[in-house]
Amino acid sequence: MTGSIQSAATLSADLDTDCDVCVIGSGAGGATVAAGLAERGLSVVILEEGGHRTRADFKGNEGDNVPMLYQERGARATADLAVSILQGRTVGGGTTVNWTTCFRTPDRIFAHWADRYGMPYSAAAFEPHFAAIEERLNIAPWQEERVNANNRVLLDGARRLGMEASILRRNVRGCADSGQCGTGCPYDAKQSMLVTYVQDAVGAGARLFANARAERIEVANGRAVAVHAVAMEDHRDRATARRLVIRPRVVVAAGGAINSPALLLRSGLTEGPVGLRTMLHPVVAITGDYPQPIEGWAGAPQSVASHAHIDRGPDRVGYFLETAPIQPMLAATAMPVFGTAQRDRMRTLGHVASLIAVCADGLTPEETGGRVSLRTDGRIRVDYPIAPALVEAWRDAHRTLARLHFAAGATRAASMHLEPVLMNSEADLPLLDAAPYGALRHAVFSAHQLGGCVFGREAETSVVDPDLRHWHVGNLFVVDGSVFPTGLGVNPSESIYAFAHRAREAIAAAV
Amino acid sequence: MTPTRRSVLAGLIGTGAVVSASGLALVLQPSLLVKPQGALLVLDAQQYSILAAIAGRICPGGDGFPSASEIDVAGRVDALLDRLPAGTAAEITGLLGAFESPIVGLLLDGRARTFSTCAPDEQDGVLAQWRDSRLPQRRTAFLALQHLCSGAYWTHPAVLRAMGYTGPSPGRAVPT
Repeated sequence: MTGSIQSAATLSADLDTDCDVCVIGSGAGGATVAAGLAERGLSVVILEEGGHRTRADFKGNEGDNVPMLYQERGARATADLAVSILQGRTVGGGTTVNWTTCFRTPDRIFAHWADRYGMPYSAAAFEPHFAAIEERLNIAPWQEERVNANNRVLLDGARRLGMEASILRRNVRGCADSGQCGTGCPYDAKQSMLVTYVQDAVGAGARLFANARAERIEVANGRAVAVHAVAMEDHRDRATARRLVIRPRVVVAAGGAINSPALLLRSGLTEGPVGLRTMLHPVVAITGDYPQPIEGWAGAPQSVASHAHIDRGPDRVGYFLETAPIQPMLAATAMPVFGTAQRDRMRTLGHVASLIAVCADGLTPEETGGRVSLRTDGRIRVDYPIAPALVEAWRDAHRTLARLHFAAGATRAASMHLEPVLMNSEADLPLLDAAPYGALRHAVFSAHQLGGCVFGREAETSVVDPDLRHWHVGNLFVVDGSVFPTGLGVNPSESIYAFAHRAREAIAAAV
Repeated sequence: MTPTRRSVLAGLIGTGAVVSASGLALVLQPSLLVKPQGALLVLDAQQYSILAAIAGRICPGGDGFPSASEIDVAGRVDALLDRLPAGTAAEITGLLGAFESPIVGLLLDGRARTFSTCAPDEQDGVLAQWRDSRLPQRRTAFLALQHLCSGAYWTHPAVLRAMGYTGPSPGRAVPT
């Protein structure tokens, strides 16, 4: 039996239906779960807040595609705007717009979770889940000969400095090197949820409603009895008059970190640390000017990574190094300059490379991360206080990134401070020491959101148990990046896939 | 407490209201109005004019690039605001009022004129004062405006042509 994908905005009447499982969200967690459950013969309804966009919609035009495919039309940020948050909102969730980088959950993270939180997870126990995911999504190492010039800067710079760096793995099949991963793959080469597990789920009978925002989970006597959703206009963040009520036997919240804790808060499920320990893997960047063309908008956006600085000791925040693609709007909004300075910088964009340091937050005792809460009008609020350990890491990372640029042949390096630090050689690196670091002193980004519904072994200190089941609502599971209590130190998508793959069995047993 | 977009506006506008009792002349200073290039969806004519003035300094164009007014950056931002939740759009329109206010300007920077009536060099100075302020709320406000205007400007086809951006690679069929 084949299911369907339908925009809730096109429903001719309110919907009231029952099913075995209602999955809220169609991204890395939701789609992986939905496919496994539908293939077991269960009736599955998927609610996706974003629209249903496909390859025909993916034009590589940031002006159209970013508002179309990202949370808050691309404007999501912490409440003080200190951290810009890139998070997908479309069928396929963040996987439709991510840069395809795949890492297994590192052993050191499993060890940290076992030691700090008593979790029964291990690399060995997850091996079959990683293997299944990697086969379905065609996760494989990228080819060094196809590394683009932007990533070549990181690879060459690291090698010249004797720093570890390696080719990373991507979930693509027939990649055309178009460089459009961040605005949706026009070739369906990216093995996102949109073209894999969502299709598997629908092929096995799941019904997916796009433009359907889950407003709250109705709970009675410790059981989730209904999910109340509202149909959204397709092109505006406005609710229509159309309502959906799904009455499932089991609910899976998979809206991603930030949205899942917000859903629980809207549902009155405030027991435990809901919304707390929100981690953002905060990113800082340094650009470099090169005599040769870089054209960082073309080719695989990320194909090289270095984890040489991920373990900086127990009291220091580690970071890993990657690159960011250089699209015009992303660059112009990332560089907090204006006027002729902005214009002249943008004019040379084709010769600019961008290296980033992604901080693994939440692993030191000092860091408690951020918080998701609700504004009085219902909008989501994200606060992310900057811990001193993070400031220290940013300072160190700036030096590392600048050194890499000069080792790779840059003629100039520039920070993303509100007043950029401009360096013409390594001799200028001390200029970075004098610069201010912290909130609203320089650009900070987040492409990885984690925490807010963290797992644990006690109801008082966590939201879900080791099987990702809500401690107080027995037929509610949370299956997305919100369950991780720390940063991962790697791009998180494969970890979310694997945890979702593992969760299928417990969820099916709960039906 | 961590400053938020909301507290920025509440603080600045609230301060302006207190001072207005003794500064009516300042309150009544008019904005320099410019005619919208199309029907407005969220902004009113004054807000559009303020935003157009800000956009003109954030993205001035020249040297082969179109000006912000030539591609109607303020109108493009208005269209984006229409797609956002009403509360978010209201925060932005409130911010525009605070940015324009001669009372806020006088209190913070000694500028007793509306932003839109200042000379371009003076407007650049105002933007820099918000960007470099010791008050994080002002830096937040600057970033909000910088992001909105830059996003609207650097996605326009005429701007992309001027910078030599040829668009996404057409791609090539390479089996992996």
